[in-house]
Amino acid sequence: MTKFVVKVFFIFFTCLIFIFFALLPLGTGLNASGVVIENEAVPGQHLSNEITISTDKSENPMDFQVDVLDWVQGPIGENIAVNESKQKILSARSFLKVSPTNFHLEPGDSQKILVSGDVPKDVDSGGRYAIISAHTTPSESKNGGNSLGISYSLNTIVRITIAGSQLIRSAEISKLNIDQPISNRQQNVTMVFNNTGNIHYEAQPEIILKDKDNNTIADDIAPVTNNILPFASRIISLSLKPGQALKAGIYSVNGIVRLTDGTILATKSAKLDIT
Amino acid sequence: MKMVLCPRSSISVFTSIAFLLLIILSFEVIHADSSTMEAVPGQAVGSEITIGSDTSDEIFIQPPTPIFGFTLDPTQPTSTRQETMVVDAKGSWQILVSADAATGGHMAEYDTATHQFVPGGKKLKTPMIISAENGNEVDLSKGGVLVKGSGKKVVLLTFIQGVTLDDDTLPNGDEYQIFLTFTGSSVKANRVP
Repeated sequence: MTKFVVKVFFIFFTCLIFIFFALLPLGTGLNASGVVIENEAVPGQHLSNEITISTDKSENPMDFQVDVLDWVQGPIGENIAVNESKQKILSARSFLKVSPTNFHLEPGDSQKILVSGDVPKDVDSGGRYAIISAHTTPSESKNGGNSLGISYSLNTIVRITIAGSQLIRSAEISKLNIDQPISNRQQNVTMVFNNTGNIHYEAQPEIILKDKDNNTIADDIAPVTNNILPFASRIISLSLKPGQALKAGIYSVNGIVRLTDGTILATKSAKLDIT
Repeated sequence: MKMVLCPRSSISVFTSIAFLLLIILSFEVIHADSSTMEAVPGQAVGSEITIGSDTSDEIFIQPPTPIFGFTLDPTQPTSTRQETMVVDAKGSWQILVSADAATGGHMAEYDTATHQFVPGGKKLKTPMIISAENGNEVDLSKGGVLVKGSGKKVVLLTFIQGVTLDDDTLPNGDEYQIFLTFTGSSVKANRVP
């Protein structure tokens, strides 16, 4: 009988533990839904969308500020929100607004943020981009001592394609650098390419090593990038590993940037001199 | 051969089945919950369209808790603290970290009475650095991408502050502070290398 009771209790508590963890919320923190806004719109069209910000019940009360910011991209594809871009960009910031711009969340509460705007009737072709930043104010030291205040921000990226306009997907490889040291076994290459078009796209960079007779010796295909915005540059590291050590001679390294459908956007060549 | 269930074993079997059903039920609860989150597409009304019906794109961030009493010891090459951060999203995400404009990434003199940085106050000579496990090391005087990933990840962060004997001690009531912002965003369609 004792064994039976132990077994029943074992099963019961195992199930209780499982159910406890299964139903456990993700943890304290901040959650946002609707954080990618992407669609086509014609000039003059009214746009609206909602983002929902929610906090966990065990989170502290928080004050939020919501801003529409310019979206710029760094060389490794990082998405950065700035008040006003100094770089050339195609911005949607001027015609988007958010409501409310400030709000307070008690633990476990949620708040809908309305993102709306009218696409200008005289808008040019291509894409328009912005970041909606919902950020908290940093908490301050109350316990004394040197401290680090932490605030957090959840960014919603906005990509609007002007429907019916001329969408130009083009690129230029601005740099194809044969990295030091020169090696006949593994040659690293750095490629920098720019989106010279007016619309974002995912790209797949590749390099091909060819000998003097145009035979392919090795190649390397980088993973598909995240969407690269117009006027943004991207730096990619690639590596050529021929099956056997390269003999002395002149080789060519051919850089290619393709769309995911295989369309070639840009090419560039560089010489590799193996001595 | 005939199998006979004694009352005790039959109770045990029924108990097991009941709990098994309970487990299946709890899976259903979870599944139903996630379905609810995915099923909120926007709709076009008249001349309006809802941009981004892609409301299933969610991101969750649980940044490290504020750090108090950060020991700055000039006899040690660096002072460090470790904290964790949790990020979760249905696709790929990135976390950027930046320091407030007042400090520019260097812990700066803060007046605890006025709750403000002291104008023209002292700053540590070395900028703070944050290092993320399986991510990057970010110099906070520049800021940048701390970590990229997809799905749910618990990230171990190390806050590194260099202090030397050239750094100034502060008068009573003042302390070195810095405010950091962790920014999470979805990087949809990004294949993480």
